[in-house]
Amino acid sequence: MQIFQEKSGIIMENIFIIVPAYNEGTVIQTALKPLLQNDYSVVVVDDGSTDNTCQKILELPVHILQHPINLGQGAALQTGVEYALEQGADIIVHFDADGQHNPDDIPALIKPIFEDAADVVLGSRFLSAASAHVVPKLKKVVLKLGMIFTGIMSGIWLTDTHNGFRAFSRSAAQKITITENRMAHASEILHQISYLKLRYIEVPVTIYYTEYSLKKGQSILNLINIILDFILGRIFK
Amino acid sequence: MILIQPVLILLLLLGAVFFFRFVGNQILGRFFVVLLGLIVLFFLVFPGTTQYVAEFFGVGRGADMLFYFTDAFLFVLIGVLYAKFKSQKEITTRLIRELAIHTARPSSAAYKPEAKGNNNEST
Repeated sequence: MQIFQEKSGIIMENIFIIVPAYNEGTVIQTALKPLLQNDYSVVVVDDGSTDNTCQKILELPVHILQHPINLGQGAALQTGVEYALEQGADIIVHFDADGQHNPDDIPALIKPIFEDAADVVLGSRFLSAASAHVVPKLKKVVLKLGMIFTGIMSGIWLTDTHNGFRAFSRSAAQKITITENRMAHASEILHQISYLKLRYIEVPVTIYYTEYSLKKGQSILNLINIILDFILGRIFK
Repeated sequence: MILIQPVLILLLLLGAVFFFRFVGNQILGRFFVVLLGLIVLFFLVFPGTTQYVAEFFGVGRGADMLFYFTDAFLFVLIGVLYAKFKSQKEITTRLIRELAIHTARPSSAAYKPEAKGNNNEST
């Protein structure tokens, strides 16, 4: 990481990790502490949590933003990104609060941006030997369907289209605007990458499936909502 | 195909394009509402004319013709309402976002977790 910093001039404090959180009081400290050991700037967006999520992180050296009501993960990410840009972020990473993402993957995720090889780097669990085989079968089917849908709608064909682990250069983060408040934001981001002709690349990342994260994850039926939200969002621009 | 079909399709498409793209244009919106109101008033005052209009469009009964046009109108109205709802949602999101950013608590250096491999000895 130090070599990248020296070559690019980007300092750790200008690498902002955006962590949208909704009722993650039981896991958020565990998810954040490894990030803090690496001197990243961490921005937690509490999306109207009704539990003690915010209280759990008050003593941590993180930026805290709060939505007074729950808007959705997409909205929380956009809030975090706008704040990070105001704070001078050079690189912005999206990171889940439920402990599914591995902080040790961040250097590999942001390396292409340091090297100016990509504007957006997308994590893929299916490129990782550690994760690919542990994805629950039904979830794998749904993710594959999502991949086909996104490929048709955006022209971007990825191995993992609903992986929340992403990194953006400053200029890419400035150009992309997430307007889908809920889970359709994942498809919207890819659509905008295609529309704006941003350079993108996929890198392998590890996803940890725990009972907690599987319970909190998206239901299969919600895929229909995501598709409808995305289509209606395109019609009613 | 009877005449009513392409007419309704065209009306739906025109209505969709008109409202989805110009839903904020109050003058055109008011003009449309007034025009619609006058048409409805005309048919209320001269109900017998619905039969002639229906026959012109190839529909059997005046009441059926009114039903078809009402369906088309309601479809466009749902689209308009959805567009307005989406617009309101965007405004609300914007307000909440500005509030969150304006009241953000910046990172505090008061707490620093132990770095990997460091011991607790003080200098």
